[in-house]
Amino acid sequence: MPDPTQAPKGQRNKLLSMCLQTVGIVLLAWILSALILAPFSFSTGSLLSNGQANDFTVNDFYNLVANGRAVRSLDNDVVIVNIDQCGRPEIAALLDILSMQDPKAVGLDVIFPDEREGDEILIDAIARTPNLVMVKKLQQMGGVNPPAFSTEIESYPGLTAYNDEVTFGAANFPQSVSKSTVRRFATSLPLADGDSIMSFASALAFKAFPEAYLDLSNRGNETEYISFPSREFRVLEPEDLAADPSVADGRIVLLGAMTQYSDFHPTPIDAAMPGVLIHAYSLATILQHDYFTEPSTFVIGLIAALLSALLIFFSMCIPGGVKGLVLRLLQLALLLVIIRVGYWLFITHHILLDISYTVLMVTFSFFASDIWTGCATIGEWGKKLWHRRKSPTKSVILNEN
Amino acid sequence: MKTDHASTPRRRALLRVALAIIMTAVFAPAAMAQYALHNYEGAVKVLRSNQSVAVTKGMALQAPDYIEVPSGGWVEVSSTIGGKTNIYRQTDAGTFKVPQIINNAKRQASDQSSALWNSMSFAKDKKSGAMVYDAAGMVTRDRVSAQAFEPVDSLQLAWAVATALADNKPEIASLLDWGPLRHSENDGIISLDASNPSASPLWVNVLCLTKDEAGNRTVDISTLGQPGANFLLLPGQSMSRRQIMPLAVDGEVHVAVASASPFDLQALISNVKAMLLNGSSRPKSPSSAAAMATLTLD
Repeated sequence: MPDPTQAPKGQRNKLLSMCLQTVGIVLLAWILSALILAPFSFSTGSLLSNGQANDFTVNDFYNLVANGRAVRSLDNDVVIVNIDQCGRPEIAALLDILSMQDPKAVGLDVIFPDEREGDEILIDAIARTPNLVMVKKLQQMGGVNPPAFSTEIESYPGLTAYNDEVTFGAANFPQSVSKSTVRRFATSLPLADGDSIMSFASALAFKAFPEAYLDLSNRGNETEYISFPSREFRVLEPEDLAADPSVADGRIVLLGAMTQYSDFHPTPIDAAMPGVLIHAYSLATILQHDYFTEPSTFVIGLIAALLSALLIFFSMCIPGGVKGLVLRLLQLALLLVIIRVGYWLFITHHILLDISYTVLMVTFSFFASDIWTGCATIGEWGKKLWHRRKSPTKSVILNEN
Repeated sequence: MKTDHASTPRRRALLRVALAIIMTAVFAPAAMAQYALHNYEGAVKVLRSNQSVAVTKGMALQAPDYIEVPSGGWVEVSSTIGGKTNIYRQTDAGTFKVPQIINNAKRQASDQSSALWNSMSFAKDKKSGAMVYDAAGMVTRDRVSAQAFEPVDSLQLAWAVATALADNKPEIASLLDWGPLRHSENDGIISLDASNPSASPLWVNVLCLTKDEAGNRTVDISTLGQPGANFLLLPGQSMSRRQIMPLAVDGEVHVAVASASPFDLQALISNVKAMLLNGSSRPKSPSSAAAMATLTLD
């Protein structure tokens, strides 16, 4: 009679074997995904039909979807004045008008690199404008670690000679490569002399809403993701501001060009967004405390590994015949669930979960499982061949018996 | 069983009051919301009390208004409550009340699954076949700048001021459609009043033809003026300056200047000096773009 105590032990061994196999296949899937991540992410971009598939993250897709919602908020703290058709005297006139109102801050997203005849009007206007932030462009110094910046272009010094309270902010945004998608803004940038300079948006927040800037600096991040979706800003022409200057009261007014193509940059929601508008979105992110959280690489890897393990373990429990069909349907369903959950986390909890790695792990789970099974089978064949070669006589005698 | 009949009407009254408070708390925010037509595309119509009203961007809407959205068109309605403004978009064709548009938009925005599905490439596009045509390769030249802030021709302005100072009377009363400057004298008090009923800002200052310490004639900022910068009158604003002590001393002439464009005060003084005192040639008749007014005070 079979020993009843052996039956549970046999099941336990089988379970242990399955668990060990699962761990092994997950490790194999991880290795495969790490090796094939780059070309597959391009394929993911093509699958999701984004025009900027060469610089694409899944969160760009979420930004697009969220921005397409039927509800948007009209920002009440930031107003943009389009100075596209304005020369220096016109900008001086606008600053004069703003100095008569009570704006929280004025951001001048213009650089005046050289002195020109007739600049006295502009200098006077700048002298009278309260809470003024002006912009400068930095360049990264090569061969320096940690990275440091120096001023590339700024307005000539005489322009602000009569206003000691002008603050300068850097117009630079962090990107993976030059001219690629702008997703984040810098809180501050380190300078070569050891000092640092706030970004344009940070400087404006510092002037207008110090508590919001304090919250930003307490987060301790060098960069923050810009909250783009479902937000709109009042954009005025100079005549509109002249007709109703009270729109500036209690608000941050940005003076910048909205239709100069040389200052258009790709963002997750718009392939060509004016630079001043990107500054406005960055500023609104700070003022609304609308920050995103990005889980650590370890957490993302752990989620991917757990989902992959779940799938593989489940595949071992399904009997043959319908196994292939069930697993492929399950794989597709899991992919959709991952995308759905990622979007929910993005919208509801402002969590940027990089699901591309999880998608890869799920996709490669069965590939890894097939490789594992194949290698195990080949290993068994090799073992049998080895044993036959080692003792061919014994096997003949056994066969004869 | 004892029944407290006396407390029942009182209880009913209290209940009515509580219900009224609750209803007010629930519906008051909606009652205080301000609606406006934020943006639209297509032949959108607004019906108010069964009458069609003219449709313009930014027009105020009322909750009972009906908005007719044509096929292919869309409308955006803004709702402001407590200083916070949200914008609600309606793309489906039909006739809707304002609150309906808002509720439809909120429902669509909260449907995350549909939004994801519609955005994925393998989902059918509802407007399949509709295309957008963007121009490319086109550049423009010689755009007219914002005329509202076109800088005044400083030589023209200087000529007007120099002429007024030299002739001791306003050579050009006003090239503006209205006269922004008025002066009066009453019991030895000289008053200068400037008003701006136009839709554009107005820059104002006062210069004077006087004598320096050596007794030579010179042009400087009047005591009624503002050194360093001009007065700025925004649309609808006015200003008044008064001088109690006698203004004109030994032939001093004061000229108030108002311009619909900013002007450089120091450059103006230099040019007026050159024209008036050094005999420099004056420009020809002023162009209509240099809108300015002068008023001589004595």
